[in-house]
Amino acid sequence: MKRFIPIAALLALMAAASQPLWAAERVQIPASPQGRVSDYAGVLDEHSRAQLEAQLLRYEQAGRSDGDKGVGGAGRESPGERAGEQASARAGAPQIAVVVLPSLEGDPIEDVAIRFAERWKIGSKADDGVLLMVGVSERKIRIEVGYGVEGRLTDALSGRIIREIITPRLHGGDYASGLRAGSAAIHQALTGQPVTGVDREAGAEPLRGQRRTSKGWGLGGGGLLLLIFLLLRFGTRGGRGGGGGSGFLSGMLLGSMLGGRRDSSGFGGFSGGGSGGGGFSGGGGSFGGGGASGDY
Amino acid sequence: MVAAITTGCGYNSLVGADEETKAAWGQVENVYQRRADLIPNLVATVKGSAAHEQSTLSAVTQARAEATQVKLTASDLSDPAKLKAFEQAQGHLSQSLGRLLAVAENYPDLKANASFRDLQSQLEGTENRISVERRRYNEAVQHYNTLVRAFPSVISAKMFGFHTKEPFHATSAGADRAPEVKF
Repeated sequence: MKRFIPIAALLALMAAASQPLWAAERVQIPASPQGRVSDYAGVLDEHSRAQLEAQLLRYEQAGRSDGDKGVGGAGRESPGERAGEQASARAGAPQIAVVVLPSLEGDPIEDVAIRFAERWKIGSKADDGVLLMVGVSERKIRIEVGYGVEGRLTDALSGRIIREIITPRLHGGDYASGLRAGSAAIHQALTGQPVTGVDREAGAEPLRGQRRTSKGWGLGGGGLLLLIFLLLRFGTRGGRGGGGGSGFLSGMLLGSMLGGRRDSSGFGGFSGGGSGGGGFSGGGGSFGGGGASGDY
Repeated sequence: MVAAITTGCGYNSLVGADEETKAAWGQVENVYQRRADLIPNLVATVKGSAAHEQSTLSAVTQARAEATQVKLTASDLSDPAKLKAFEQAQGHLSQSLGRLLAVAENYPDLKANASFRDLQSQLEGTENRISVERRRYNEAVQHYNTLVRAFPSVISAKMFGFHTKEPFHATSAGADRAPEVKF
């Protein structure tokens, strides 16, 4: 009897891991972005796209080299401390991604944006990613803000950036300038600088609702212990000549543990905080629906 | 031997999933509290331009007071009636907020007021956070309930008294989504 127990546990784990993700969505999300700029609608010419890409890369690298000077706790300052630009400019490497979609296909832009952000895990483990999304045929704009930077890029400030910086430019059909100026404003906000082009600094918001970064470890930790335990059991039996199946089983278990957990756990999948060269991938940032939406 | 049985029967997974629902619930409470925190400011701002909408304003204030009184502990999450009371109180607040914002439509100087527009953005953002955290809570509950009901973790669940938890129920289609806040 005892030897069946791990197998049953394995089955239960696999069942848990393969539960369906959240229901009925129409916009399909590509497994990986085209780059920091993913223009699925083709509103940017090659030159503007490359320019924007370089701009976003520059922001990230500036943030990272500053971050290397050793400042922990990105995004932990209260909004009241935002005045100290020098201090906050050194916090981490905020990652900004731009996505332009031809159509939202009837989904609310809030839903689409958070699904992209979660899927690509924009931002580092400090949850400092920001997604700037445009839905062309619905003429919608959204700034989706990672948990860790909600204190700096507040909903109110996001709303102002959309209304006062992005909307007027997109309204005139100039996507390149709208996205450039919008990204610049987001970067200013993330690094604690006053945002040029908005009326005044938007007021502080309650910080409640931000979550501490490392969710997923409660379960991840327990799961890991179980994994090690099971591997040890399988391992010893394999050594006595029980054989080939154990490698396969533990491989499958490992796979389902690492790959199949819910997206929001920030545990599996991606690595690195955006590689230096042309490639781009998320670094495990998570999002809680902060930010703002607007029309143009 | 005890360790083998509890591990085999998914005890660790149960504990993990249980903790995850509690964390998710904490987030749900946070974002609702965040909304409650915004309301006094909103009411004060609207009052500045639309003082004679007194009944709408006091309805919001009262709904807020009632909603903040409904607090659930972790063990209440297994009690459908308690979760329902929470949803009702918060839903009531959503409705009176919706009425207030509809009324605000009639005041052009309010709509042009920068701090009112900031409050709108904050409120929209908060409603969106609410729908995100509700969804995550429901996902966590679904995962946990599956473990509580499924073999073999059901053995651990029965042995150690893990009960299924209540997810949020959308009262009507799209009710779990942020109300359309149009200005």
